Amino acid sequence: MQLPTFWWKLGSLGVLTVVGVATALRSRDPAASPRRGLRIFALLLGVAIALGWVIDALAPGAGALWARLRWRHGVECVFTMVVLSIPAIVALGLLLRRGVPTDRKGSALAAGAAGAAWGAFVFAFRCPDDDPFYVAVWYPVGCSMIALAGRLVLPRIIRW
Amino acid sequence: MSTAGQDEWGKLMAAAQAGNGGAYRRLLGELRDWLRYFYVRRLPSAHVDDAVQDALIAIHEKRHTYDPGRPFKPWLAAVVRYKWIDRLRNMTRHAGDELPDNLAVPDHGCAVTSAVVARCGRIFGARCSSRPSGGNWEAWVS
Repeated sequence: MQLPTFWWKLGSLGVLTVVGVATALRSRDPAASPRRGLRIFALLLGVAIALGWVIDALAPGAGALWARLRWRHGVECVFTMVVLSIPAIVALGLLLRRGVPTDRKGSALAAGAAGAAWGAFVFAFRCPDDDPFYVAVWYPVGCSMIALAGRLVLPRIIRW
Repeated sequence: MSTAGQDEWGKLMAAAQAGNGGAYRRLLGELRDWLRYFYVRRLPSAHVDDAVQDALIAIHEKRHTYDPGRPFKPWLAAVVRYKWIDRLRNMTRHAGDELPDNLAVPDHGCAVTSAVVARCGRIFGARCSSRPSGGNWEAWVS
């Protein structure tokens, strides 16, 4: 296990989870918009990926990218991440439903992104693979699936 | 809308949250007038009453989310505006079909008349065997 990569992974996902959850919960207030929080989230995501790239560039002896992808393991990783994110998405959806989100789509996206980051964060403890390239490919695949599902499903649920 | 009025509404809402029914009734009464004034300028007149009702229901259902420590007006404006946009969106979705200019078909009054006459004939028998002179049906029937 490569230590800097592990902490990079855990730290980035932790921060993204906090920002995402805070954005989603703040948007329960009718006068608050989730857009700014979403922009910060996207910015942090970019920073995290750039940081991963730096860590990867500093690490010696990288093999062929295709071999590093380990897609069989990656698909399983995506599946676990999706399952782990479901409770968080449901909880955020219920909280939003009780609130007064006036930007339904933005709130739904924030909740989906927060749930995705949470699922990936929990999964990161179990994931034996710390290769930044692997993380930078498979984690976003899983997370964007979850965020997209949240963005599409939640607006109907949090409607008031 | 004066600032004092807004604060008054915030206080009334806070009292309503604490279970003061009289304050709540007064608040809803005042809000109803304000909402009508708000929606009359923004919606077709046929939608105003429904919009006011919708907004009052939303305010009632979401009243627990108002934080008495903060100004009432932004909270109210956001709720009312959301309901307004929701209604506008629904109006475009369920927009009534416009009637085309060429909707009218050639007159088929003659066919209707003869059908009526035929039925008349069965009911009144002999009387219908003769037709009114000059098409004066009213005089003929009476």
